[in-house]
Amino acid sequence: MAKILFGFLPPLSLPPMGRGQMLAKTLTKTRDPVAICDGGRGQTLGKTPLVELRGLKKHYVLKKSMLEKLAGGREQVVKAVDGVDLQIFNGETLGLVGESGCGKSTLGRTILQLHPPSAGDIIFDGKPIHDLKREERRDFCRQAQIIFQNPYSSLNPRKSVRQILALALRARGLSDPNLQEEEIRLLLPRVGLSEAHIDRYPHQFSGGQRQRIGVARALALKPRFVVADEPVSALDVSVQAQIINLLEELQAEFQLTYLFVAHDLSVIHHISDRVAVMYLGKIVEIAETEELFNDPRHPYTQALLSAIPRVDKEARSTRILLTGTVPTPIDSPAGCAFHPRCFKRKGRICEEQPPDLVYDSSWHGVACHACQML
Amino acid sequence: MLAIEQLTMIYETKRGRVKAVNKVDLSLGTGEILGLVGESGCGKSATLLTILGLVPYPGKVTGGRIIFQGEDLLQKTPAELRKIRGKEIAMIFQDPMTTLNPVFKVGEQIRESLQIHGLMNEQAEGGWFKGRKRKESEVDRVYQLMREVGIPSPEKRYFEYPFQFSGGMQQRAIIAIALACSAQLLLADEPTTALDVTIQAQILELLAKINRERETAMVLVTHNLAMAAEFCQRIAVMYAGEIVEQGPTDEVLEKPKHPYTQGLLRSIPRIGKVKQKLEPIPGTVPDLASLEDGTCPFYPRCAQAQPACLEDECTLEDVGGGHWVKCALYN
Repeated sequence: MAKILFGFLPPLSLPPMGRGQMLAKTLTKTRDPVAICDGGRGQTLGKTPLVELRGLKKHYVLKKSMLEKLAGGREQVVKAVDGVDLQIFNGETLGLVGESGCGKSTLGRTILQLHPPSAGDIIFDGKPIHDLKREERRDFCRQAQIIFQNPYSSLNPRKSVRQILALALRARGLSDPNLQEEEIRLLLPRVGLSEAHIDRYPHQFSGGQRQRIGVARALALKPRFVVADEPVSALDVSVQAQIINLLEELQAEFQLTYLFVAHDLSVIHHISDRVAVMYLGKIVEIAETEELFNDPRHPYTQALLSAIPRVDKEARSTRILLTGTVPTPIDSPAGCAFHPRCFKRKGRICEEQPPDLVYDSSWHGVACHACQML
Repeated sequence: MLAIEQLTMIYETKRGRVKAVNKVDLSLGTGEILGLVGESGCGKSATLLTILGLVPYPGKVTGGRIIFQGEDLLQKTPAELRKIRGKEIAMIFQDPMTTLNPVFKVGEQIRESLQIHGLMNEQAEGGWFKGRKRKESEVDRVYQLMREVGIPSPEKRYFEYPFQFSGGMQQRAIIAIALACSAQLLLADEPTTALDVTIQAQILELLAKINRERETAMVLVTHNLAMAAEFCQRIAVMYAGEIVEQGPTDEVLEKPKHPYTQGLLRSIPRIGKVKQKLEPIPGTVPDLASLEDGTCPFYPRCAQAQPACLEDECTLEDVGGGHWVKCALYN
């Protein structure tokens, strides 16, 4: 009985990979890390930025109805991402947190060109993306992949695992069905699925297994940079840990760089090397994980961190309750976007002038007038 | 105040009998907060719905008793239950947007509860304008409730529709509905899952305040162990329709006895601890329809499984200090 039940479960520890390591080798061979020095900053952290964003903006113009057009009035703009400067270094996991509607998913998708940016530059591996030629652009699309939040809607229900993965392989340029088959059979055990799953359809899998298919699909293109857009928030607690571990193992094996988007701060704390906190389309604070969690400086980060429920009694702190809710990104407040909810407001400067993200010597960046006055 | 004994609820489906709630024992004192934690599909919400007599169609209660204030709720007629629901026992559902009716004003929806349970009858005086006076006093009471749950400027927001409320405000309005008739027992089914972290903290603070000021007993259903840890006095852990461990919060979280609780605690990332690799529980939650009677449902995923686990059905055993565990290791 137990054996029958065990038989259906995915293997607990991943089998040692003969071919997988080969896969990794070919990966590293194709990569020639270009050392980019960014005013000494990358060198300070001992890494080179793989992805760099300069003043990235994504604005959506709301369509007006006929009546509104006749009535005139201003055009309404949703500033989902509003001027983000960010570096993501080779091999690191950058956690991106914020409340719903703050633009964190949009940012991830804009980097991958799933939404064209409204302004600003995305520099991947030293080259601005908008300058790329068609072939190079194709190569970028292969190297930058995404794992979606909802494993139920991100897989085509009419396609089997084989078809889903074969499509990704074809996009990579692998068109021989026999080679595809071989590659898929290598890939499946790597993400904790068995070869027996190859002809099944998404509905035959549990949520955790579906997310593994999503991971396999991203991995099939041999990416260097993966945007994980809330990959575990639709999963149960015990399954969440399986996927987090899988992502960590894959990162070590294939030297992946992650942009890990999540709203669950405990998960972010666990997986990230650095954390960026977003509020209304802007990054308000960025620092190394431990630094950020031990010494949050922006009032929003402080409130956010104090609001997380914690299992351990020693880890609890006094809760800072923010009043009000996140304002809409349509007509967001002038000055610092956080000032209507801020408990450290310094008067007019906060209401009128948007603060810049200022870094200190340990590359802990904060965008807050009150912090900068100290 | 509330005592559930050996409650069993099954769904009769084509694929067989699904024991959604299997021999559940729970008790709750006045003013106490009990946390019911577990993964999705483990029967937490089904237990709450059974208490209120709201079991959806193929479901049937096949055994047990639900004693609320000395009376068995399972023996009540639907009409009697309707009088209890909303008045003595109120429920807060997970998704505020689907709980509120989108085509009625929020204030009216709160007033409806007062109207149905006829609480304002005595206060209204007789005479020509009886109905109008009654409505006025009800509206005043709604303003008061809205203020109590922290909805600003109730005179304005009474006349707004749910879509004009943010998620947190909607949840506050739902809490106001639950409070309208001063229910003694509040069943909260994942009240903050649909909300952001900072709003979640606001709502939990509000619920804690209600518990302090009104001494309302609460059952909080959640999958978030940390939330239950901070908010509840006692915790019951559910797995596959059964309660596997129950006890005072600190006791359960610091000295977990059941392998499932232990596994769950090891698999969540914690802030403030040295980072370790997470140890997930292998496998997934079992399909309830294919479970066999008499065996431990956690057996296939359990690291400490023994042959004894398959033989006898365990019962909840007291391991001291009001800490109960259902596991062959402690039988």
